[in-house]
Amino acid sequence: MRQIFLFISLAVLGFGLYLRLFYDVPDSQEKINFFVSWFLMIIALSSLLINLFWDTKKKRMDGE
Amino acid sequence: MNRKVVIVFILTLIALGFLTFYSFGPSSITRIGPQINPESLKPVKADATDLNNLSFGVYHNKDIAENFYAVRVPQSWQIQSTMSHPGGYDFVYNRGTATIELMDVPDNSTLELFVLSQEEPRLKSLLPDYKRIDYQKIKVNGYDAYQLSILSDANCIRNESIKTYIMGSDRTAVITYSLPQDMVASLQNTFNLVTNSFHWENI
Repeated sequence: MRQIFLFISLAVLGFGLYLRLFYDVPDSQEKINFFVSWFLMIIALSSLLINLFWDTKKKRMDGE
Repeated sequence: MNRKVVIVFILTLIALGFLTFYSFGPSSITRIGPQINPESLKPVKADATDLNNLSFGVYHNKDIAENFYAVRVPQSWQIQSTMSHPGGYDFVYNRGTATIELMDVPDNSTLELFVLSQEEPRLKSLLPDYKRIDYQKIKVNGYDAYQLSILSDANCIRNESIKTYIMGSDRTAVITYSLPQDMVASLQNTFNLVTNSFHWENI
């Protein structure tokens, strides 16, 4: 389950980076591209962090 | 619940709120998207003159990355700096106007297809009594270009517009001359000089 969550987060991050750096944005749509790309990157990064912290806690609890 | 997870969640919400404000807030227009580079509005005096002894200034446009270009324009043409848009210029002269702008052609289309299937129908619906006079494929400084000449009515005057679409590696440059039909012949040489002076600076 954790791997699937991690994979989806990385895929979303990659898509956000693609929109930000490589996608040929049509005229007058810079604003929506800016918003969507950063939205995806923020969501993906926070998902990765949440995944990381949840994992840490689980390990600690297992140790106890 | 893990405290760190809660903190990340709250920080994410704050970041999304900030992003929304930054993207769509009151001053977002001036921050996102291409801006006018002040250097683009300062012409450099060119040595050459045309048949009518007009002197020229060279505008180096550096507003949009990957789409820098230079164009030679008669110094008597007045630039409408208040109407300027990133990557383009508006000029007025005698009884006519000239516009230079950058246009994004979708990746899934060719320039010719775009001109004929989207630009021309758009002009036809926009301009009263639209009539195509000429359409031809030309070369401007070695770049593929398409020139569309049209007639339309504006304030009971028969106006002619000559639009030249010059292909670039990213965007397309569009040079448009609009003026009363009876004045076109006298300015044709000047138009040719301006159009043929256009060149991309980053190709």
